[in-house]
Amino acid sequence: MSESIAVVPVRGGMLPVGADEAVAEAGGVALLAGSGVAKAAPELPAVRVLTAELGAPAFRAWAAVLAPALAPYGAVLLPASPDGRDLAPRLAAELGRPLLAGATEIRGARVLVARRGGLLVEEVEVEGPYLATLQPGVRGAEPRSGEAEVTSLELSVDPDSRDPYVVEELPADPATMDLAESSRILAGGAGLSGAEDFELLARVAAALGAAPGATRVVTDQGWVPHERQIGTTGVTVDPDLYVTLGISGAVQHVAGLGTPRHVVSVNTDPSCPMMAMADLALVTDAPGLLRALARRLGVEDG
Amino acid sequence: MAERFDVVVVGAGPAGSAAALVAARSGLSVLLLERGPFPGAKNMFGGVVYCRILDTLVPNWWTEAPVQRWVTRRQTMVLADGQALTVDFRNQNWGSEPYNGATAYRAEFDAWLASKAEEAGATLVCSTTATGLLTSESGRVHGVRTDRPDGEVEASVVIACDGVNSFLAKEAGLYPNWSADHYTVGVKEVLALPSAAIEERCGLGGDEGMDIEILGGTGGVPGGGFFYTNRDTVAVGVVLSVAGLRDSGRRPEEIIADLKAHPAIAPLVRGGELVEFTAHTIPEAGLAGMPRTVGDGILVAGDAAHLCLAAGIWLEGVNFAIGSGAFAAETAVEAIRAGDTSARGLAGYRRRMANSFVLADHKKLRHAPHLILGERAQTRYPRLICQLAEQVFTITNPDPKLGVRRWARRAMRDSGVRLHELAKDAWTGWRSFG
Amino acid sequence: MTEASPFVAAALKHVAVRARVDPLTGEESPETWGASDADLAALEWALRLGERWSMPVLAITVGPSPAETVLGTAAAAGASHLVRVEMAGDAPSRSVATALAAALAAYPGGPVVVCCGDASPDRGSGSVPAFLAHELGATGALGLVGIEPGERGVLAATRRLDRGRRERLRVTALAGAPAVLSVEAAGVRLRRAALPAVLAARDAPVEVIPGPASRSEPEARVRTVRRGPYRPRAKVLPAPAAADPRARIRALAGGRAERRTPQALALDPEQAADHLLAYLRETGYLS
Ligand SMILES: Cc1cc2nc3c(=O)[nH]c(=O)nc-3n(C[C@H](O)[C@H](O)[C@H](O)COP(=O)(O)OP(=O)(O)OC[C@H]3O[C@@H](n4cnc5c(N)ncnc54)[C@H](O)[C@@H]3O)c2cc1C
Ligand SMILES: Cc1cc2nc3c(=O)[nH]c(=O)nc-3n(C[C@H](O)[C@H](O)[C@H](O)COP(=O)(O)OP(=O)(O)OC[C@H]3O[C@@H](n4cnc5c(N)ncnc54)[C@H](O)[C@@H]3O)c2cc1C
Ligand SMILES: Nc1ncnc2c1ncn2[C@@H]1O[C@H](COP(=O)(O)O)[C@@H](O)[C@H]1O
Repeated sequence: MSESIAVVPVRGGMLPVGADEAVAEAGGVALLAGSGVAKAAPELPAVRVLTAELGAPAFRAWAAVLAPALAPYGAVLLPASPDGRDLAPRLAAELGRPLLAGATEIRGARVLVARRGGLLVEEVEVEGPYLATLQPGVRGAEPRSGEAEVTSLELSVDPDSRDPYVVEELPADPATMDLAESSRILAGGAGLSGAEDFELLARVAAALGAAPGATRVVTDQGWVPHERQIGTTGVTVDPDLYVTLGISGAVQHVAGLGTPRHVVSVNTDPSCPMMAMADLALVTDAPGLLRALARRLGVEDG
Repeated sequence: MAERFDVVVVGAGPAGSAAALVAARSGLSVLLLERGPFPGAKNMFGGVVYCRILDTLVPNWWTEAPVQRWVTRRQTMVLADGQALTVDFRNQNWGSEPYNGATAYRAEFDAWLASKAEEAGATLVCSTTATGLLTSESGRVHGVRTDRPDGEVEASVVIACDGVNSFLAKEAGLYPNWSADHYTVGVKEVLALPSAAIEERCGLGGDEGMDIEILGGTGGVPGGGFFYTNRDTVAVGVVLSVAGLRDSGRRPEEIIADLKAHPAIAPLVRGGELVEFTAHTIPEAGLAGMPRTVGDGILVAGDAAHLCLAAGIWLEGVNFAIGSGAFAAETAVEAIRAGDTSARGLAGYRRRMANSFVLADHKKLRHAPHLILGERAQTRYPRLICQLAEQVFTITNPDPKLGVRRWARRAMRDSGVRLHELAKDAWTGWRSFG
Repeated sequence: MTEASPFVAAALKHVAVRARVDPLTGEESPETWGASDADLAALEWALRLGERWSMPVLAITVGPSPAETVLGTAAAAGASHLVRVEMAGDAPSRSVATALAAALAAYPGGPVVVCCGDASPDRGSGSVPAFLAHELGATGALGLVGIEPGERGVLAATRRLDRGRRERLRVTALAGAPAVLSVEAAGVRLRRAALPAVLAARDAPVEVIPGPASRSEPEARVRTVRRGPYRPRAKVLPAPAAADPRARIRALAGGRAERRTPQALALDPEQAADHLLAYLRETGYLS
């Protein structure tokens, strides 16, 4: 099989989550497209970099101009970040290639893809060239060593292409920062229920000197503001202590987790991925345990 | 304009689906309301359906009902500390047509029975809760209110099959002397095991199943236990007196954990992975606690009418629910045809039940709950029985055997059983079960 | 749509919303079937856009006949046109998108906006909406957490980015130049259908359109060889930044060396709470 390449959409010089991993998985060859690509290039563990300064995100238009440059490569990888996930199908369609979305490992013509949020994995065999998106957080990557060879491509996008118009970009809420920088996190998932449980979780967290966090299922329910979400589309954290209550450990969640020294997981299902990661896995009812903790820490009432 | 049906059935459990099936089959327009996203979504029970009652409703039901295993082996087990005496009955005839009992999952069984009602022409609407009755000034029920916008439905007859603690029956004034003591609580765990392991441990063939009813083993809290086999899970649980549980200060999970650790049960559940933990209230008081089942424009069936036998060693309710639901519907059909759906026009319901197993079994067993849940049957008799068995089976060489009479006397003394009480309970038992 | 009015569409997938996965074999036992929360949110947005722009709402699904249950949900909530494209339930993303696009483009009046869920619970690629946008030649705004309908054919949307960021987009959509939106389950709940609508929906007619007989060409080149439970792969760790080699080794080994053998305990919540606090004390997080 011919060479692989990672395609990395860049916004104002900022790399998407999982960019380094996609580049490492592709063997150090990358195409950076977007705005501020020259600034972003040195941050990647790449040996050979193509850059294409294309401006604001317009994936339909990008796909049309990037496709020819990618045609020679056998496997084209993108990080499964929000931008990567949207650009990949457009590129796959332009290139007439199959798309393997949500891959966890690329082994030439054999690719592992996560299903059901990462409870399952499928091994697929592809004939010929393909595209894949790689789940952030599944492989890690060593920081780059040495200079990469950078070639800039002169491409221009069709201004009339039908893409949404980007009005503005909203930065992460400063409130997320205390989560990102916390050395202890107590996070809750769908095993807890209702805003009430999460108010209690916040009090228990405070009593333990920890920041409260949540999964996307929880933030989607509106029980906790979105800024508290940990994972690929939430905040990336790297605490020493990570305690989870009723979290299954989907890839997109765990990907937002660095390498905590101590992981405690509470779940009624002893075999879910979060329990497999834990140093202390407690098989018990999470709401019950939360209440018991609150009583012991004297924070039952708000 | 409210929607209108001849009959509105509230609750698509076994009682409600049977009622809807019978009423729809007679050509009436029937609305079957269920609060869950589908019938059986949240319903739980121990695990065995005694389906004989289905013979008339769904001929050859066994060819299509979603069954886990056919029960060919029933045990009654008496537990004391570290001891067990088991009566083990195996009947290969139960493993073929027309079958006797089957283990089933409620999510599948209830959905299947409701689909039969739909095939017969009933309209099933899920994710919809009946929130109240429409009543006239005189107190006559003429429909229900639901939690949906424009959610009122008129009906000639409402059949309340909304399960234990029916608030529709309460609202209709049919639960005059409600008391928490009329209830037990059932708690069960479902444990996943490979089907081959289940078959080997219980000595079963391919689709055969075993059920065990257990007396004792609930740590002194009045109640009983059960163990049922599904295809690749087993259910183990306890039925406990609500008052007894409260007084004991123990949690039901602990009691199940102890039961699972008992040497007679442990080998059956070893290595099982917990896949489900559920609890549900059970009407237990028997005939004494039964509410009125007929009002103006309303009938009550199934658990809502307390038609459930859950006195320690029995766990039957689905059969009574189906039976009473069907009778309620027959009565409604008759009353609607006759143009009188007042309590008087619906009075045939009680008569139908009285002439069948539905009330006959409850009448026969009316003293049983008291007996079975009494302290003697709960702790002293199991101890007595087990101790007796211990003496009979223990070889005491070089001492000679004492003989049954002296063994019995010693066992009675040790377990605190008095002869006159034993005689009285035996009499009650004889009248109930004889 | 007798006079062939342009319409708003909602693409709904009939799927096992939850499934149990055997941790050893990876065997999947589907639990609850229906439309995912994200698809229900998409339906709600479609209904709101339809109301705002006075356009009918069409609900469409690709799958075998049981998939019509999701169309019933849509009809009860207010969708006036129901379409099912006949196809195997496990058809891959591109093939599903092709089938959706063909059915929508051929439908009289033509779609203005197509609302999808952001990712389905089973496959969860989120690529159907992107492929659909490509096939329809449409604008694609994917992974939205909020939509504000403006005047006919214009809307503002909030899209989720990574690292907690968001972006605000302006999307214009017309018949002939439609937009495909994919939305998360965030922010909206599907309205509760009125009882008369629920009853009427049972008889609502569904148009069934035959789908393509085979997979799209690129997807025919992919074959699943194995399914199993997810096992994390070994992660590459960046080398520690400490200056001298010994400090680096200590930094690498230290974190791990302290680690005790993982423990798994089944306890009741009270005991578990005690155990957890004891663990935090032992590891020095609590004094
Ligand atoms: C593109 C994309 C991006 C995503 N990004 C993120 C992200 O950034 N962050 C994120 O978190 N998710 C993200 N997700 C969603 C992710 O796939 C999972 O759906 C989510 O993380 C699951 O959250 P959960 O563990 O709370 O819920 P579930 O997976 O539903 O797990 C709930 C757990 O609670 C347990 N439980 C249930 N009841 C009890 C009880 N009484 N006591 C104890 N335990 C109990 C269950 O056994 C289960 O393990 C993303 C998904 C996609 C497709
Ligand atoms: C632990 C336990 C073990 C048991 N074991 C057995 C056994 O092995 N064998 C056996 O035969 N029986 C057993 N039973 C008893 C049996 O489960 C019940 O007797 C039987 O389910 C009664 O059926 P039903 O239709 O009357 O009520 P239910 O099955 O309770 O059904 C009531 C239905 O009404 C719905 N509903 C309630 N309120 C409303 C409302 N307001 N609006 C709309 N819908 C509503 C509910 O969602 C439900 O679907 C057991 C019970 C328990 C708790
Ligand atoms: N078979 C289908 N029928 C209708 N819509 C679908 C189908 N498959 C996917 N979709 C839509 O595409 C979204 C994303 O699905 P997926 O790309 O499979 O993750 C879903 O939420 C649906 O809105």
